[in-house]
Amino acid sequence: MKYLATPKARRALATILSCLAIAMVVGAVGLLGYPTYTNIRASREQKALRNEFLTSSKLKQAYQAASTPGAAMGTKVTLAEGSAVTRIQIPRMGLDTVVVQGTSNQALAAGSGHYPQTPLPCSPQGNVGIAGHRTMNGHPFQHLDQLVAGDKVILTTPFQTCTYKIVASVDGHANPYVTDPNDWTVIAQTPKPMLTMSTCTPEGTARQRLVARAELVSTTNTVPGASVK
Amino acid sequence: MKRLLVVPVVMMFLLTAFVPVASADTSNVVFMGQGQSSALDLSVPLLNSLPTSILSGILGNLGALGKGITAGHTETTFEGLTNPSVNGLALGVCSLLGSNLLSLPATSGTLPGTLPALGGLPSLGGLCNGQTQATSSSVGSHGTTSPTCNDLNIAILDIKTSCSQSFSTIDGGRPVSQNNAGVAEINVALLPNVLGGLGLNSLLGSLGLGNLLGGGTTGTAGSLPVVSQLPVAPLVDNLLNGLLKGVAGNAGVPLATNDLVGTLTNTLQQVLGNAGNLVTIRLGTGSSVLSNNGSATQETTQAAGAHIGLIADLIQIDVGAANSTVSWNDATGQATGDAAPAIATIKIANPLGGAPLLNLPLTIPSVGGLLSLGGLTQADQSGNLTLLAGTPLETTIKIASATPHQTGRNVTSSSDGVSILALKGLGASSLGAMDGGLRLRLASSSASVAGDILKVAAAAPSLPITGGPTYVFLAGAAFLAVAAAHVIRNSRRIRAGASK
Repeated sequence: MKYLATPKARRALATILSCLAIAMVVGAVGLLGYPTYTNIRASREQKALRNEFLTSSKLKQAYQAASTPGAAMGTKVTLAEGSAVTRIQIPRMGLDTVVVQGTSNQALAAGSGHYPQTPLPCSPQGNVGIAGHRTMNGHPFQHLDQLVAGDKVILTTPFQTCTYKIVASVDGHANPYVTDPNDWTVIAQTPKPMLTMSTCTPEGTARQRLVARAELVSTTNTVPGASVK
Repeated sequence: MKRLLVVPVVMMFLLTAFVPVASADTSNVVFMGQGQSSALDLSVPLLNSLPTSILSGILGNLGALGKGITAGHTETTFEGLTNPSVNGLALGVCSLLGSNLLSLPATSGTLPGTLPALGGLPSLGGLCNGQTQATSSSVGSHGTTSPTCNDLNIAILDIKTSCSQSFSTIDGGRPVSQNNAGVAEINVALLPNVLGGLGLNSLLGSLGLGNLLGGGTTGTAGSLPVVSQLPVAPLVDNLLNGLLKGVAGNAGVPLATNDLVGTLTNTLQQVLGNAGNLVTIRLGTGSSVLSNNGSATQETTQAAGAHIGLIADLIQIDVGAANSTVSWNDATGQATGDAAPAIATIKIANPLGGAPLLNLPLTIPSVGGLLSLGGLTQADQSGNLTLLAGTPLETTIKIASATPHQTGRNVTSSSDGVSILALKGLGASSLGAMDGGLRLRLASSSASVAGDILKVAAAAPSLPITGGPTYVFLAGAAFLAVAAAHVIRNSRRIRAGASK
């Protein structure tokens, strides 16, 4: 501690420590505010996505291409990652949000994303997969665990509105259910048209996944002459 | 101040919570191989047919040598890169090794395989000198780079210093091993007491030659009756005129046969009667070296050759070094091999001085001509010379052979100086087995390696992470706040001290 022998050196060190303390306080504020920041960012993105959802011609083209006779069930649409795909509403959760294409971290910053390897929403075949945040980024699926059998899940596309109902059980176990984070069978294709929603659990961690599955019960064309069946 | 170091550490920990686990297919390079070299490998399965009690009764300590002697023996087994391990062994000189002891199992064609460990050494007793073994499966060094040396004298065998050294380690995921072994010299003296101990009386008696030993069972050097009464002169005369003259004559070497016969006769009598060395073997070292340059692993085995002197060096056989090399390249996934044969020459010294009477490269054709047994020799496609084929006396001779062999990514290289499997039907384990007789390998080395590049599928990525670690952020913020308060307190204290 010889370098602290002089008052000048002590003052210099005190200044440095003060600066460090300020940086720490700034960091603490940043950390504290980051989850809120992601929520605000997601909210702003949602506003833009709602507009995009209503006006995007590419989105309509994608749904039209997927609905043409002979199109593969697992629609290989070329929607850009992060672009709006569908609007999801779950009354029990008070959820009304726009789902984007893709499930990368960047895409999910908007809140929820459509598994690109699954059919487009309202597909009359297969298993539509949607992942959503449970914490931060608007946390659209925060209350996914509260769904019960019969709850409605409404997906809206440029051409249709589809109603799904939460099923009572999936493969013999309760629904929603918890599974491993590597369990990709949750979005495996199904004989009946289904919707599978996934999020992380327990809340605030990514140790496991919470999955809720719903069955397509009705489809309503929102635009006369829509080709999506 | 030290407490402040906790801050960046904790921050690093917090940040790692957000780093996604990389997931991509990777390539695992695997290879395994082995190397083996022996300066001398002599076994006498013929003696196995004798009951142990008789063998030890006749030969005493030498009975333990019944199965043979191996000198300058080294070997290595290795595996990398996924689960690197290496075993090394070096033996100065050992009896009982026979021809198949520690023979290495073939490298599996299916990779990754299970690396065969070096065979456990048999109970070598006191007849094994200069033995070093080192096994390593970690970066730690095992064994030593300094040789261990010993002497060994048993009955008629006088083995000068035998040394061995073995060192193994793992370097950069690749096995490294260095094994060297050898003996300075082996002398086989024809001592009278041994001759007596060998029971020549009874043996020769059974052949109707009992009087040759003068009725005694033991004798002293220079007075052994058998020496004085053996028809040495006619034997030497016949040998030289009938055998050597023809060969040397073909090589254009003039022979003064009358003088030569007399000299050789004297020499042989001197050797037999004065405890001279019947056989002198000066061996080079055997070595197995496993090295790498960061992308390629190379196993080099070498038997550094030998000099054999028969009848007080009257007949000399020199065998050069036998080299075998294999290498495995991680980047290209290619295995290559190379082998250089040991060149052998035979010399017959001129007892009168001057140039050798005979100095020929020892090759299968020359040996065939030397033996010229007309119709009783045959050479196969691989250059092996077989004498008396199909009889219990069948003898196969291989000289200066080198056989690199490659099948895909599996390479084997072997090189022999002189290999003699003599009298294979005598003392065989079963009728027609042809595993008896006497086996001699001088300067032999072999190495093999096999490898593959395995595509390893990455672990399946997890479902999308949608559970932002809110609590981590809150905890981080709380920690920083506390740390900041601590720093501020220290800062004020220091500032206060400065103003005093």
